[in-house]
Amino acid sequence: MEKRIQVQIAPDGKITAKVLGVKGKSCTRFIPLLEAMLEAKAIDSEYTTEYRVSEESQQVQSQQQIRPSQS
Amino acid sequence: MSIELALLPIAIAAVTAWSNRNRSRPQGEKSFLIETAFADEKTLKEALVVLGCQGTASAEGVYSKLGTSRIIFARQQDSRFDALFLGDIKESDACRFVEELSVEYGKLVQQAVYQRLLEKASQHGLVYEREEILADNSIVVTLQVQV
Repeated sequence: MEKRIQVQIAPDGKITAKVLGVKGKSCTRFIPLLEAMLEAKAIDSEYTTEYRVSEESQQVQSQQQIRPSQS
Repeated sequence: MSIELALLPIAIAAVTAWSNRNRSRPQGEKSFLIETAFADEKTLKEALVVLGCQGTASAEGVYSKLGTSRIIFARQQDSRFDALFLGDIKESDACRFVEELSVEYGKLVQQAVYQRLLEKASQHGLVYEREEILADNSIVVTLQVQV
């Protein structure tokens, strides 16, 4: 999936932004980027399903890697 | 999707609700102080012009007139401007004026954010893909991430 940012600017000037196709914690690097680019301050953020699924997947992989072999 | 953000342009102060209160001046002149979310002097002056008023920078902030009444948009410590109405004006009219001004102010901020986004996207490794105007006049811009 291609990485995209969707920025919605309301008629009252308030902004909502969605970072699409970027999984896990790396998506948070776009917060300061958007703040600088738009001269705005992030006042709320919400991780979406894709973020959580990606994080859980990474945790499972890590646990599998450190688990001692049964054989 | 991975993250959704709500951002507030620095031109808009974080005020959650309009509030107003009466203040009696010693001379017996009635005045109204109305809190606003305006935080940018230039945008405030432009919004005043849209409503047919003039905004002049003064030591106290931005000075304007509405009919025979005077308005001082006084800069607060938190960077907001409070609108102080002086003279013969009903509080309801003053509130309505501030509401209309906030609508125009918001439109100007929207355009400024939109222009800034188009100008600066490429500097941040973003490529303009498409845009859409929604029924409520929100502008939705989609950018591809190149880096």
